[in-house]
Amino acid sequence: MRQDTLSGLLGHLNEIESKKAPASIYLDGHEEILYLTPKISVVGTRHPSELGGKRAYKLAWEIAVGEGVVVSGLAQGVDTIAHSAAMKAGGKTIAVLGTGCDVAFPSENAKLLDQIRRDHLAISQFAPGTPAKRGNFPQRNRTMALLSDATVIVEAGETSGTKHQGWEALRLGRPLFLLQSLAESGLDWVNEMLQYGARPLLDSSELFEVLPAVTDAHNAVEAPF
Amino acid sequence: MPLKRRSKIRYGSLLIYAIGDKLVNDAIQLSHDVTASIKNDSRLFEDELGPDYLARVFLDRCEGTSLGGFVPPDAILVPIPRSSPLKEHSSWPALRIAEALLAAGIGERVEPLLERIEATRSSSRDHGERLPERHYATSSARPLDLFADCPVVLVDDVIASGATALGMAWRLDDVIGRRDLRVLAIAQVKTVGDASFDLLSPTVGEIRFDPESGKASRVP
Repeated sequence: MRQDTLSGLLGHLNEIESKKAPASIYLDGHEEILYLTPKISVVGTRHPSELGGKRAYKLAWEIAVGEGVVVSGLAQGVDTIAHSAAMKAGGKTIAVLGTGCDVAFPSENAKLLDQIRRDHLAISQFAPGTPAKRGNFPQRNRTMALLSDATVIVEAGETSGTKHQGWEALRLGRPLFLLQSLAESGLDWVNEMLQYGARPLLDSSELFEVLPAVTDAHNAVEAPF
Repeated sequence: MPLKRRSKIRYGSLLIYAIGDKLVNDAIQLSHDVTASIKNDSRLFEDELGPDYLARVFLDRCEGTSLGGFVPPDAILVPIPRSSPLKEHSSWPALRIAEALLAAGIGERVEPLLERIEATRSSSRDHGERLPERHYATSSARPLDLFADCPVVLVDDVIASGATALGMAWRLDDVIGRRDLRVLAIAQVKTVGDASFDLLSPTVGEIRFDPESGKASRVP
């Protein structure tokens, strides 16, 4: 595990990104995954419906098969499904944590976290050993929006904390997608997000149409002119 | 008496945002990556952010081309709003581009006079919709006390049909009156298929309104 800053890892952050970027980042695992594109957050409720769970699985699977990186938060429900689907599809996943990189929350996800730290990448803005605290998760969600090229909210209720990530994605100008079923739910926050630029998502192929190509962005592109 | 709406407006653009088969034509991906770095205000080459790099290119590479002198030195740069309303401290690509141009010595000042008050689909994804009226109807403009002859340049990241720009020009005409008004976009959408093309392609042309169809089109 090592510590760095986001600008140290990703290069110069613009003014909008810097505003809510964490001061430090801890990385545990295969750091090179951070430089792959596209990175797509798949997030949602801790208690998805059966259909919501299947949709999360399918989406994450298709992203992984398309060589995108699935980013999520190790929470129970949609996050766990997304990480698991990505790994089963032979793809890459990043877990962005609301605890230290060495602390699994929920504790039932300890094995999942171990696997991610060993074979993929765990990231946290919280020092090792930091336990789960309520206030950490909105911060984590904003960091997840910053690290990702796009965010997809699969399923979420009226009081879901996932909303923080959605609003941050919109603020940053990153594409924010709501699964079609969620977009049609009639929830107030969903309607408001659609008014501010969130897009309904019917098919995962739409993601790859608007996002950066599958690349390793670690090396700067030579200026063409 | 309401102003008669302008039926055409001059535009200038610097780069090509190419449409075609990425699997066949590698250059298309580069055009998308460059345009994305401008829209996202992200690192492009080495450690320079996209808008700053492109502003320098505009200054250095356009003299002697059709785009040289397109932005008058006393021009007010007015950024075109995004396709959705913005919350505070949100990314606004056109504003960032306008500020980068100003920092590079292009134009006299930046005035964010236009605002999107209702969401509309982004014109770069709305291939069939070229209706300036929709952009006019979903925007508002604040007045500004400008000297009568001060030219205005609407600034945007990507221009497709020109419908957004023309609708915004109409909206601006309502509050600041008819004056020398033109559009500068960093990139123009161009279908290239598998043909080769020059990414850096300074272009000056015209956006035209067809009153029968209600649509805008760009020439070239």
